[in-house]
Amino acid sequence: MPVNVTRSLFLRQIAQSIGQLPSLDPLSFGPRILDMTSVLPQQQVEEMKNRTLVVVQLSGGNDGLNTLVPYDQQTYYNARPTLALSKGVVLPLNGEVALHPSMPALQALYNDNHVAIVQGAGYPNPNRSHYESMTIWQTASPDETMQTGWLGRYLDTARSLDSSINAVELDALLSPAVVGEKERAMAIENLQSFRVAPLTRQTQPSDEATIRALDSIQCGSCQEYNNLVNAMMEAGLDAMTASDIVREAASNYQTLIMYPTNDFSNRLKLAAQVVSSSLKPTIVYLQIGGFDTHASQKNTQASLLKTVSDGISAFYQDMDSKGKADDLLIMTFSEFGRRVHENGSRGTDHGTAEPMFLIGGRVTGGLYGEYPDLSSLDSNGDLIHTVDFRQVYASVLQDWLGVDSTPVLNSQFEKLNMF
Amino acid sequence: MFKQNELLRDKGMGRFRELLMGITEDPAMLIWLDGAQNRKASPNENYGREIMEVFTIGVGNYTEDDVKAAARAFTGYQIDKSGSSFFNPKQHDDGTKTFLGQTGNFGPQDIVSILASHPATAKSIARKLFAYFAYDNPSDDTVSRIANVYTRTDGDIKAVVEAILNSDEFWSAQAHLGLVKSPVEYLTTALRSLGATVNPKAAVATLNSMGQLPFDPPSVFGWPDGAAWINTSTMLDRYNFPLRIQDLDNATLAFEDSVDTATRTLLPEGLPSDVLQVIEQSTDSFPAERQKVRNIIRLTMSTPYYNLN
Repeated sequence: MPVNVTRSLFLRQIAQSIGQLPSLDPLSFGPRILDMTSVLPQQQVEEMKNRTLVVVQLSGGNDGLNTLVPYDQQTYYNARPTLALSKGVVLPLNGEVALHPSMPALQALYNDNHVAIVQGAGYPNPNRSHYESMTIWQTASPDETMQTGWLGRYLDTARSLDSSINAVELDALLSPAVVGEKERAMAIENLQSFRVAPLTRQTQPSDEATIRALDSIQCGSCQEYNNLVNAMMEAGLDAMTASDIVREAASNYQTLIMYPTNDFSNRLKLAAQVVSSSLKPTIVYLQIGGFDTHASQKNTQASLLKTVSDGISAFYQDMDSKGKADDLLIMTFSEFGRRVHENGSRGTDHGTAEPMFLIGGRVTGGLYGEYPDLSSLDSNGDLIHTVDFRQVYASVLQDWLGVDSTPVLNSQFEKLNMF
Repeated sequence: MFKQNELLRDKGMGRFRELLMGITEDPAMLIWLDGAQNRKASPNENYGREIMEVFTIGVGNYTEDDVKAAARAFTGYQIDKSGSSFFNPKQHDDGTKTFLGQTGNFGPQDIVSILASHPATAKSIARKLFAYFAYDNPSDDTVSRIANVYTRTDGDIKAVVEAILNSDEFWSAQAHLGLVKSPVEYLTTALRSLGATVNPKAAVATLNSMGQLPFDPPSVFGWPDGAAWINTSTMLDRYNFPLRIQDLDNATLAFEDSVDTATRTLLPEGLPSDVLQVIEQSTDSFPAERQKVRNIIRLTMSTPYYNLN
């Protein structure tokens, strides 16, 4: 069929076809109400609607001992002849533990009662492979392999009650943590490329309309195909809708807070823009890598912890300045902590238990769980955990996100009362 | 990593045993899985475990003692200053080991041979190759049939691939649109079928944004596949990359006949008529010839028919 260059009614047709697309209009991203009325008082249900959980994954295995430093214990100084942080430089939280010297920003938040620190998070029979242990934290399943992540399962549950619940990961590919049986987070790698680029300067609306139309056609014939076609179509339509919403929010976004200039802080700033948009994601997931400090740990970890502490502090202040600190919970974790004794290369090898940080306006600040006993290590010379990380997840799911944690975690875990 | 890539290209269609031996001695693998730190006095179990868990027989077919025995047998590899690997007999543990029920003074070659001829390896290779070429989660019957070819041909990868490509399952409806084009496949098939080019920097930026930067896999397990390539960010990358393609002379020629012919430069089997109609209508709204060509390419590459195999 030869190309007909005279037809010009196309835009209007496409515009009409968009109007017929089901439930993807930005306005449908409305309030999110979980069916918690039977469990919680109405006021609390209302409050939970605006909450966000921001998960920060520290990839590579962060050395917990030099993050939350047991600075009154000689055992610590004996185990780390070159890496131990001296009493004079650490930032004490009390007489027993102190923060790494490059984390004054987090210390300030702690002093304001906005930081809960779980001291010895881990799980039984710890795995020391990056991949395996990260998968265990992401799927919340140490004993058997699971195909779904814990936040993915949360999405499966929550969206079955309220389809307008959103989750966003700020990365190119999704972490297994945010992929469920049916539901998954949206991915936003960076804001500049998160749009349908126009073919020419004038054609943005029609370019986008055409691709939407392609997707609506695919929807028509996709029934006879498979879930890959469906996943592609859904991701494409979600992307275009979310792109409009997030880019508009970003263009209206203003802040007086100075974020540090690095990739991690850029992502946190993007998180602030996404959280401020009408997408109102319940979950935001992001990661920072480089914590695998087998050699020359001192400077590497100092720089990374500064990046994390300063970035999170700026993000918190930004949200606080917009009156949203009470709706914000930031949670950090790593796939494992590191060995108590330093190795021969001024570094540390893969270990076990680690501190987790939970930061937010509504958090009851302080220390949770016991600090692992440095004089009673496992057969590998590693810390024995004092809190199962799934207890932290259970607390967050139940007390922050307002869902029953048992079906998500496939078991019941004793909560920590952090809120 | 470049050397490893050459190794995969060189031995990828030969005997699996030789490929596995090549990987065992590969400098990049010796670094990633600590093989170069695996010494007689202090064995490192990393590669000994992963060669069974990931590359051959899989979890459930070996014990922790087998891991220790394999680690001992693999001791002795080191890397010289030029980045090449060599075997240092002084660091090798040549004592007796018991591995998967067999006992002897096993060295690397022995472990590789035992693993390559193990029935569980035949099944796992059959399963992986089938999932790569046809679709995920093939039936046990299908896997057994392909695994028999592996066993009968002493692990001839080419014969196994031929058996897959000639199988009824490969030509079945289930295999239609059952695979997601990886970012590299998405990009290279477009450039090849269009006879076009892209600025290398733009290619790298796109592949990075889509999560598959060549020579930089996330782990020794390689890249994810299938549905893992699909998300809101990567779909927009797929919609936008066609705007970066250069030198579209060949595609412009095909365009002169019809939109249908033009789309067939990318998708020889063509697009369903309703999809084609949307592309035609949209193309009409662009005044310039170059824009029309670009729009056809862009929209064709945005359909699932192009992004799935």
